[in-house]
Amino acid sequence: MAAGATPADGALIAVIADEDTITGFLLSGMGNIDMRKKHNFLVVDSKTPVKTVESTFKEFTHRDDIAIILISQNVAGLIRSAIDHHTKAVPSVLEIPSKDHPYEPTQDSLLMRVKHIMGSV
Amino acid sequence: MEAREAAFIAMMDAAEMYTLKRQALEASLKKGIFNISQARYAMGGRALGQTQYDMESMLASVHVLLEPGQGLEHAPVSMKLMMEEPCSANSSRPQQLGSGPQTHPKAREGSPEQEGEGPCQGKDPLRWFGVLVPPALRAAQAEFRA
Repeated sequence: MAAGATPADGALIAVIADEDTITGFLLSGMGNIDMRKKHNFLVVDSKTPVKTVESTFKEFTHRDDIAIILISQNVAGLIRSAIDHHTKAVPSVLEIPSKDHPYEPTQDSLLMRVKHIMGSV
Repeated sequence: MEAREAAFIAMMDAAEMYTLKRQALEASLKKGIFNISQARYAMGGRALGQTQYDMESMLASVHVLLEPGQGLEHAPVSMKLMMEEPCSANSSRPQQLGSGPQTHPKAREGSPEQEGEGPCQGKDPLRWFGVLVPPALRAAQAEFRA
């Protein structure tokens, strides 16, 4: 399979979150490491540089074999500008809560866009 | 004008569905992470994290099927989740989950308790954490698969 080509049996779900959340999603069978040792997940902790998170997010958005990117909302806040610049439908970006940070609807990029559209109507 | 109104109504319907799905997701995540914490406690302080991931042969059993969208120009694709059974005789046959009349979601037969059945033994991610894993870890897997 060519690098980045959408596999015939479906695309992947990427996850950028804390270790426990990643462990849970990997238990469900979402984890994938291809022949080039490229992961579809990134464990983010207090020592993970923001640049690493941002570059990984951008890499996921450019891969053709990823359809959905799940990202913890607190991590998304670190790279908000990169997320706001992502306007393509695929891969879809979904912000999820983490164990230490409850979900804040006011920070969800998708709901913010809906609110913006409603405000302009 | 009518097209704009129809698009706006569709957007609001989608936003409502998004909110409902999100609430269900939050509930599942909460339970799943709690179960992982319980499992970590039950395993007596043994690490339950990335040091135990299978970094050599990890392959996804959950995929997303992308199909051309229908109707609105702002919904270019539709997505359906394809999930393979972790350990069953027909593990190569994916089951399709998704909305719409065309899909016929099958009952989730085959559970992580069916480990040890020959060729499926190595596919279940639960195996990364040992042969005998606490029930809380199985429960966490079920929550995250939900």
